[in-house]
Amino acid sequence: MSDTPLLEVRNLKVHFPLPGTLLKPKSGGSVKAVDGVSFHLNRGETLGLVGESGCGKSTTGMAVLRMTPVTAGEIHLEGNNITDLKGRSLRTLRRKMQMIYQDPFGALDPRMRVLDIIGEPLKVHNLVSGRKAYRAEVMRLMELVGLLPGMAERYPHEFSGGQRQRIGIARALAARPEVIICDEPVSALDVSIQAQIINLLKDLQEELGLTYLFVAHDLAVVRHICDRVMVMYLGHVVEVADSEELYTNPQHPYTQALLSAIPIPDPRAESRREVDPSIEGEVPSPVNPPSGCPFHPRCKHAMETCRTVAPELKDTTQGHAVSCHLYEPTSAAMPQIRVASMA
Amino acid sequence: MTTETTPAAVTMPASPRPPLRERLGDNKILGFLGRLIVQRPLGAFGAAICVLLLLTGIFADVIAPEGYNHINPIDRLKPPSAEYWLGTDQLGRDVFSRIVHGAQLSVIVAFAATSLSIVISAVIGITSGYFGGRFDMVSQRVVDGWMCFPDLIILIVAVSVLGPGTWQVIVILGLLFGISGSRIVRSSVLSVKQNVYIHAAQSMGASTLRILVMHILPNVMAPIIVLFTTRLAAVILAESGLSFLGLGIPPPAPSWGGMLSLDGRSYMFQAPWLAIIPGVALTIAVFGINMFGDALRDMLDPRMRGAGAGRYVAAVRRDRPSSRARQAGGASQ
Repeated sequence: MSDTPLLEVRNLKVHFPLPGTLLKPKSGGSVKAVDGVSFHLNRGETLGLVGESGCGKSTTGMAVLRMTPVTAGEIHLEGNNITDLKGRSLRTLRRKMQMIYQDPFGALDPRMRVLDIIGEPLKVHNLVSGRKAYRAEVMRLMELVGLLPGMAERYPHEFSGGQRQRIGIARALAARPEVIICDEPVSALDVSIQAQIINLLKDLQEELGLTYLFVAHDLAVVRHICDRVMVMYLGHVVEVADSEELYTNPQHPYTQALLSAIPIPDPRAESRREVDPSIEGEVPSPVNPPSGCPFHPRCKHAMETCRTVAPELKDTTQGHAVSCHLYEPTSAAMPQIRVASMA
Repeated sequence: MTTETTPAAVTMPASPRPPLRERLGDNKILGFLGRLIVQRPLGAFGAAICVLLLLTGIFADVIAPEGYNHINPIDRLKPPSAEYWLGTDQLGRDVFSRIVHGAQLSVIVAFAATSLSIVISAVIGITSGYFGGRFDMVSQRVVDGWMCFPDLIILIVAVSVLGPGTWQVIVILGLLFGISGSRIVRSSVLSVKQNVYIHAAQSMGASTLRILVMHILPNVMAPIIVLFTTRLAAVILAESGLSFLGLGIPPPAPSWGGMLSLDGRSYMFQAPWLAIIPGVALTIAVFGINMFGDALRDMLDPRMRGAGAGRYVAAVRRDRPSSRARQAGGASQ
C-alpha cells in the first residue's frame, strides 16, 4: 500500500441554496448538507459512513462521485484533484468510481435486458471490442456475483430484490473501478438477503481488492463489513475510528448515544437496555445549524464552550479521532466522560 | 433410481406438447403475434384492420375496378349493385374504387404526417424535459404560444399561405400535432428522469446522448406509441376535416373527408350511401388503429410479458441438475 490514500477528501462542503420567492429570487439561505468533511480512504479498505437520516452521509457519497455540485473543498483520487473536472475528463473519471444503489427496484432500467444493464459500463467506456468478448465479459461478471448465465436475456422485473442487487453489483464491477460507493446497499432487502449481499461484497473485496465507501445507517451491518467507521452528524464528522475500536470504545457523546440505540436480539436484555435520551427527538435543521458544536443542543455533557466554539476533529489515540470539547487536552471533564461511557 | 423418480412422476403432469406460448416463444415475431392473439384479441382485430388498410393502400390500383376519376355519365347516383358494389356518385364514378384509392391517400397522409409529428414531439419533449431549467422554460413558452391559437386558425392560415395539396397537408398536420404532442412526451420524461437508473447511467459516465436514446426514449415509448396511434387516427380525421372545408387535398383526389363533404352532403337524401360509406370507412380505420395501438403499448412493455416469466421458470427448471436426473429417469422408466 502506497503512502498516498486512494481517495482523499479535504474540508468538503455541499450547500444547497434554498429556492427564493418571485420577488426575492435569492433567499440567501442554504441547506448545509455537508459542512467541512475531511477523510481519506486507503486502497482495499472499507470505510463506513454512519449517522441519522439527513446527516449528509449520502450527500458526501454523491459529492465524491461528483454527482452533486461541490460548494467548497477538494476531492483527490489517486493523488489527482478531481473537484473541478468537467465534460469528457469527468466522464472518463467516472469509470474509476462506481455506485451501488439502495433501491434494487429503481436502479435498473426496466426496458433493458440484464445483459445490457451489466454490460453498459463496458460499452460506455469502450472496454471490450466485439459482441463475443462483450458477452463473455458479462457472463464472467454474472458468475462473479452468483447469477446464472441463463438469466442474461431476462428483464429486471423478473428478478427478486436480492438478485437485482446482484445485478447492480455486477454493473458496478464491470468498469473495474477503483472505488465503489455503496449507498445503503442492503437496507431495502430482507434480513436473510442482507447477509448474502454483505457476504458477497466482502468476498468480492477479498477476491478483487476492491475499495468501498459504505454509506449505511444499520450499525450492525457496518460493524460487520467496515474496517473503519466515520460517524457524521449534521454535515460534520464527529468521530472516526477503526471499526472494533469505535464499537467497543465510543468517545463522542453522539456515537455513544447512537450505539445505545442498537436493539439487542435477546428480549430480556433488550427490555433492560437504556437508550440514551439525547438521541431522541429531531436533528436540528441543517438550514440553521446550532452555533458551536452541532450536537450541543442534544448533548448531555454540553458545556459553555460547546455553545460558542466548534470543536475540531483531533486524534485522541492513534487512528481514533473525535470532534468534541470533552477530549481537548486541557479539558478537566475528560475523566468524567470516561466513567460515563463505562456505566 | 426409482425412489427418486416416483415423486416426480406423480407431480409432473404428462404433457405431450408444450403450451402454445412456449412453442411460439422461440421466434420473436411469431411469438409476438401469438401473444397478441391470445392476450389481446381486440388488439389483434385492430392489427388486422391496419394491415388491411395498408394492403388496400399499397394495392389500390389492382383492387379498384375503375380509376378513381373514371366518369360514367349514364350511371350517375346508382345505389349499390353487383356492377357498382358501393354505388356511384353524381358523376357516375364508382364509390368502391374511390374508397380504395382514398385508403391509399389516407395511408400516405396519415403515416407521413403522424411520423413527422411524433419525431417533433419526441425531440422537443425529450430535450425540454431532460435538460429542464432555462431551456425548458423557453421552449415550453414557445409551445404555449403555439397552442394558444386554435388549430383551425393555424390550418386556414397555413393553407392559404402554402396552398392546398398533399405535402402541404402533411407538413401542417405534422407540425400542429407534433408541437402539442411534445407536452405529453415532456411530462413523462419528467417522471422518467427522476428514476435511479438514470442517475446510475449518469454516474457511470454515459454521454447525454446515450442517456436520452438508450434510457429516456425506451421508457417514454409507451406514451409515444399511444400518441402515435391516437394521432394516426386524428390525422385521418383532420385531413378529412380539412377536405370537408375545402382546405385539404383538392378534388378530384378521392379523400374520404372530401367525399363525405362534397358529394355526400349535397346528395344526402337522394343517395345516402355517398355519405355513409366514406364515414364507415373512416370509422373502421380509426377504430382499428386505436385498438391496435392500445394493445401494442401493453405488449411492448417487458413488465407485461407473461410468457417471458413462464419461460424463465422453465429455464431455471432445466438448469437444475436434480430435475435433469429426474427427466432422464422418467424417460428410462
